[in-house]
Amino acid sequence: MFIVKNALKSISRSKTRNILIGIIVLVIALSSCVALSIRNSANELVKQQKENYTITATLGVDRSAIMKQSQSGSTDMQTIMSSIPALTLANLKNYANSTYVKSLSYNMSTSVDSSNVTSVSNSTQTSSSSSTTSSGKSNSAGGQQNYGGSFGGQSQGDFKLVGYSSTAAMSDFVNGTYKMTSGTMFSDSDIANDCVITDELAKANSLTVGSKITLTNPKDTTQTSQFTVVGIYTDTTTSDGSQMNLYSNAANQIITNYTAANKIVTASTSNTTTELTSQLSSSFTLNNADNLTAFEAQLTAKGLNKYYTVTSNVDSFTQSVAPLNNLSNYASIFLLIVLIIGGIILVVLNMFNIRERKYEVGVLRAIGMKKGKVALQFITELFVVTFIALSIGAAAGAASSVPVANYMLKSEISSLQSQQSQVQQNFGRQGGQGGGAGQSKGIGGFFGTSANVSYVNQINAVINGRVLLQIAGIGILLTILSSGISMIFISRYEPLKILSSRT
Amino acid sequence: MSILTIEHLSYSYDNGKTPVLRDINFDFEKGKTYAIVGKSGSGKTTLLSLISGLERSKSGRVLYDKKDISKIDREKYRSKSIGVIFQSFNLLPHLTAMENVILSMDVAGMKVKDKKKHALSMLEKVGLGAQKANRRVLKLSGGEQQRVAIARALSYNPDIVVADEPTGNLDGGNEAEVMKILKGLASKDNKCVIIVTHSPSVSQIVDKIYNLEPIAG
Repeated sequence: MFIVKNALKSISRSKTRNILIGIIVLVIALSSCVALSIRNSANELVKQQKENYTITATLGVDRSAIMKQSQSGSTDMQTIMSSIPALTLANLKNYANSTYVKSLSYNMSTSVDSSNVTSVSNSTQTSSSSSTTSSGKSNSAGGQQNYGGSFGGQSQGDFKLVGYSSTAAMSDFVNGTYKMTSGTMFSDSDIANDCVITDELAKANSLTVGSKITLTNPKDTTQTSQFTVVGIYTDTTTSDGSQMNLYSNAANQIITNYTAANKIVTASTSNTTTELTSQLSSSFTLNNADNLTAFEAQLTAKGLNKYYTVTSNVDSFTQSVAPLNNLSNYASIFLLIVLIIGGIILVVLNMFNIRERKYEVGVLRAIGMKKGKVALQFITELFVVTFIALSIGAAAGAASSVPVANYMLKSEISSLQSQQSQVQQNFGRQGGQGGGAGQSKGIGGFFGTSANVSYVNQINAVINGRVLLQIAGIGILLTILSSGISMIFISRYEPLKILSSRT
Repeated sequence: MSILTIEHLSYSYDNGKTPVLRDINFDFEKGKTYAIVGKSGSGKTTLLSLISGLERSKSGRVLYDKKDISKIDREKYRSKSIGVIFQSFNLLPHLTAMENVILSMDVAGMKVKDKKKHALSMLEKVGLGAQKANRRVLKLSGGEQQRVAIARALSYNPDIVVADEPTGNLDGGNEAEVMKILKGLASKDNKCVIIVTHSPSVSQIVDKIYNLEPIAG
């Protein structure tokens, strides 16, 4: 107990020395605090991104693997392709029945004709199939029911009818390639024969929102379905006019819900000669970016054919959080540099300090105080000074780092919200929150954000318990480091030599 | 009865190249005052260091209460059994007179109800009142600092008090006063008081004188 009392007396009566040590520790603490809080904030944002960013995985045929197999063996690509089983909706739902999957979205496309709408010819088009190609890539062919050329090549309709299971699957709207110019997108809960069409198709046929169009089976014109135009969109990409047929012309695309599209395809199956060929594409929304590998393994375990490959947007997620990860790394490096430089300064200062207090060590040892107790007194002094300075430094660090962290957070949220708003505008919705329940979430999911996500817009506890513990740890580390030097010096000092040299 | 015995004590510096003490045999009893005298270089201070346990004997023994001090806890011996009054006082300058005394009591592990009161009584015994007791030692005169050093050496009631040139830094008046205090420690408090000095006046008032001769060569 007297050691603590002595240490406190020594601190209070040797102010200059202790203030100097205190200032150095304070600078270390302040810098460490800011670095730790920035690192924590960055990690927090990455965590938030991880939770909100929707990782999508799509299944597609691995053409390079097929080509490789074809080159190494006698089987040609066409034979291998035709041997690959098509993925059914039941397969997809089975794969989606996983702890790693949050949701499954899919679309079915088929070719149709119309009895009251004329297709846009390739020579007059203004849009291009490049968007379709891009869309096809991102969604991948999840389950082509016929690989023998596009929809059999015979009796193909002029229009491409695409039925989506949810608006989340409409990547062209999400990424802004398509934008509604009139009306609004039907909701996810809509199973009626509602559709949206391109502005070119609408203009060519003087169609407006509310117009009725009749779609027919190209193989049997008696099979008809009437659809209501609920929206008109524009394709923002430019055209090169090189489509081989009208079906491939993006202007002739009609978008509807999956149920409506499936109804037409199912109806056509009553007669094998009039059966429509359809293509099923899927997109799995994963719970977490870290689950992709496990999901892939699970797909293999569930019997997914080896020629299918999983494509995801994990790379895009990794890129999006790279600046935050870099910030976190820079903060860590800064912290390390501060600790190394601060630690060296503190050790050197303490070496001088102990040399200066050599006489005191000699006296204490001469009156019978053991080396350990002398060292303990010095360590106690250092601990007290360090922790007072650390507390002040942590408080100052907390005060300065909270606004910085919140500024970072706000700018990040603002950026995400701006993207979200843009997505909503692409769907022709005002205010950015329209659509049915779950729709906004799904749409937003493609951008790693969601309309119904409540963002943390204030980090009040940047200096939380963990940071305080880390700072305390730094304090202990610095004290041990610098007092270690003290202990070495004290153990080497012989009282008689010290006192006789002074005499 | 001997409280401290020096048996065949020899000591040299520079790995034996510079001998300072050779076959010393002294005997000290409680209640008596001793003077160890000798010319400069005769090994007086070395002997004091060996007696006080600040230095370890290389040949011969120093026995405290019949125990070889090189085989006992020397810190404990220094903090409880022997009080050393250094020529240069060796007080802690950032502490007051009283705090210096209390520190020695703490180091000795003394169990006293009121340490301040006890320390003050020690300081009063050497002629320092409460006012001086609460002053930092740097603000005291040389004589006063010497008294604080004596009070510190007495505070934990050791059997032996060793003083190295206790009057070396003092004027005539203070010298007489300090010697009176030291003499009283032996006669009144039954301490064994050993004074290392080269002052003839000091050696005249002690009970026994041990003379150290420089080793020739």
